[in-house]
Amino acid sequence: MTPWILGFLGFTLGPTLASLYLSFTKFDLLSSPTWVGLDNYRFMFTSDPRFLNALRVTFVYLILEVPLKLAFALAVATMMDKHIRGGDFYRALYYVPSLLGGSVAIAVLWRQLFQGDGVVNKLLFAIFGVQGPSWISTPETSLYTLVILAVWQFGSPMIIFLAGLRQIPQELYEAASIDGATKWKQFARVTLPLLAPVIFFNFVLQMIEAFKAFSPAFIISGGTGGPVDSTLFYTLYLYQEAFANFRMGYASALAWVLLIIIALFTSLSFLASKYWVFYEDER
Amino acid sequence: MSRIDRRQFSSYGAATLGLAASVGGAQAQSGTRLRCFWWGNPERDKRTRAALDAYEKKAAGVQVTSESIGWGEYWTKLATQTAGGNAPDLIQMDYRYIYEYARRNTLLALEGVMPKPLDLATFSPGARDSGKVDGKLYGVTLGVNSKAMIYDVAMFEKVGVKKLDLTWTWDDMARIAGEISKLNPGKYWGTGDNSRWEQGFEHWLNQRGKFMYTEDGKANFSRDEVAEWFDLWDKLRKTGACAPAEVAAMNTGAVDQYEISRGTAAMSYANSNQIVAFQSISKSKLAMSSFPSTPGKPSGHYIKPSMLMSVSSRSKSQEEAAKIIQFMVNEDAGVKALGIERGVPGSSEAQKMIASDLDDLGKAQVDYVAAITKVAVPLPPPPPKGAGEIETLLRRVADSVAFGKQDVKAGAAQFHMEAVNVLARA
Repeated sequence: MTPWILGFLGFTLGPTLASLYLSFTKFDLLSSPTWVGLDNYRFMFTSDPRFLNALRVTFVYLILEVPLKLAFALAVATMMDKHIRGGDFYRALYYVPSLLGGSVAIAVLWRQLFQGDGVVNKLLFAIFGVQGPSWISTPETSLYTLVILAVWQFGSPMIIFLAGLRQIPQELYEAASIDGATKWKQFARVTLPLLAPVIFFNFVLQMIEAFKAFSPAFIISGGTGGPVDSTLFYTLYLYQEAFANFRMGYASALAWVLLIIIALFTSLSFLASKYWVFYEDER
Repeated sequence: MSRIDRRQFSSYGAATLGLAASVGGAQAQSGTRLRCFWWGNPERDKRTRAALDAYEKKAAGVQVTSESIGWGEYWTKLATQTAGGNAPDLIQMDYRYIYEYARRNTLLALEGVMPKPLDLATFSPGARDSGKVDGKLYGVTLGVNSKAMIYDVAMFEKVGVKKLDLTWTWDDMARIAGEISKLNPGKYWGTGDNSRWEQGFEHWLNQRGKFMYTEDGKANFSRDEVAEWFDLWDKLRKTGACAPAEVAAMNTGAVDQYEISRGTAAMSYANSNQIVAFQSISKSKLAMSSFPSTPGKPSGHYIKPSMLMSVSSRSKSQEEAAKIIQFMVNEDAGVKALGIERGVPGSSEAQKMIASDLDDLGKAQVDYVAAITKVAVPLPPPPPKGAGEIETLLRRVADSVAFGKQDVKAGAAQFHMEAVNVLARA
């Protein structure tokens, strides 16, 4: 217990409190912090268009990425649930993107795929005869390539869904099919309701992860969030302010606002879950 | 007490990275230990380590651990170490940052160690004084460079241009770039979009006899001038001489992302010492010349220290650190190990020492710097705090103009306003 307490105090609580203090200061690392009261927060909410843009980018990403990824993961998990030959192999195979997804190599690969003369455009040209734009460096489309990258990493929610599916008693399906329910009806009436707690768990986890998305945008845009701030995720902006522009005070304030946003959305999700998530021992 | 522990800790860290020679040996206990930190590339790291090894061999009992990292992360790490009272003894400095570090008393004023052990008598006054802040010397130039247009020789020959000299003009550039763009339409262009690069805008201002920033760190350009600059490139984009926005936006500033490296344009803005790095990844033969000139106007080029070596004001071995700098810039073994990877040496004696070892690219670089020296404009005052942010701001706004998200005038107004704000907030 003691080592844990020491670690917590030294590496978690200490820095957290320090960052709270710094969020009320102007601090550039080289000179000591000077107290500026609420200035950082006031600037953020009244005169920082990049802050608002970073919020917008993050929310667009989150709203697209989370449902798509969950739907995709659930679809794959449902297919995996059947006892097919080599199932373990496919399960491992589909998990691979999640292991690789955060790596530099994949971000570089993404640049290659979605650039002007990249593989995606060559395919589009071969199949449909249309010349696509440079997806990754066009402000209108760059964010969506990152959404696709994230959805492709569906491995971990898929595994959790799979575990959830295995928990559903088979006799429910048997009963449903005797009653004449189609496969689709069985899915909607049996699978989904019984899987609700797992869906909720995955949803909260993926939502928090989406708020914290950083590395793909950082690597693909060379740390700029470009083109024209179209991939400037909240955390990327925070990083730029802290480590490129040396505004540690302002960056700390940004971090605290993000913490509050995540806490708010997580509690809202928990409140809303009362209306659609039921556990076996309820009702 | 605690500082000693931190020092030991970090040298162990360096050792595990495979950068230090040996730790904990008998000689380490009695001898002097120093740390040297620079931003680099594999070639520079190899050369610098070789110079430090040669010094260790010469000075018994001295051990220099070294560490290098990319430009972007370098300043973060250096600031963090400096804030923690754990700055390296020898710090590679950039002209952009030396002002800030010197004025916060984190660097040693070198007058105390001159002329012995550090002697800069053979340095040209320009090269020597570029390390001065408020009248005192805080850094020694490791090499000088100037901005340079890097171009693809074969492509230029295809449109009948054998070689560029320093007198080529903006009109020449527009014409040559336009012709090259016609060779492979929609795939290859004459020039990359340079409206987004600070060095381009700065050079253009310098040609009009202006510095980008005033001595006291204010923006020294008007909204109209920004508009004129954006307009210049807007026209080049419309005629097809310059690559379109989506090609420009792929260039994130790393050497391998430049248009000339990616094989999408025949010329890119760069610095003269970088030709070594560009050539090493390019399949075609490269050459360099000045940025385009305006007849009857100053060249806009200045000779700049590409990198400086400074000593931490908290270093416990300041005398030894000064000796190492002396070794790097004045003594045969050190000078030869470093070569001209960091630019042309500031000392005339050092230039002679390396003359015989130069390859073609090296000679081209030396000749180019010599030619520019004759037409150079004075070195601008070091960029103010916040200038780094303005560099990325220009890229963002110039891109939004190139993508047609706003017109030239609106873009110029945005850039000017945000630049003033950044400087006020810094």
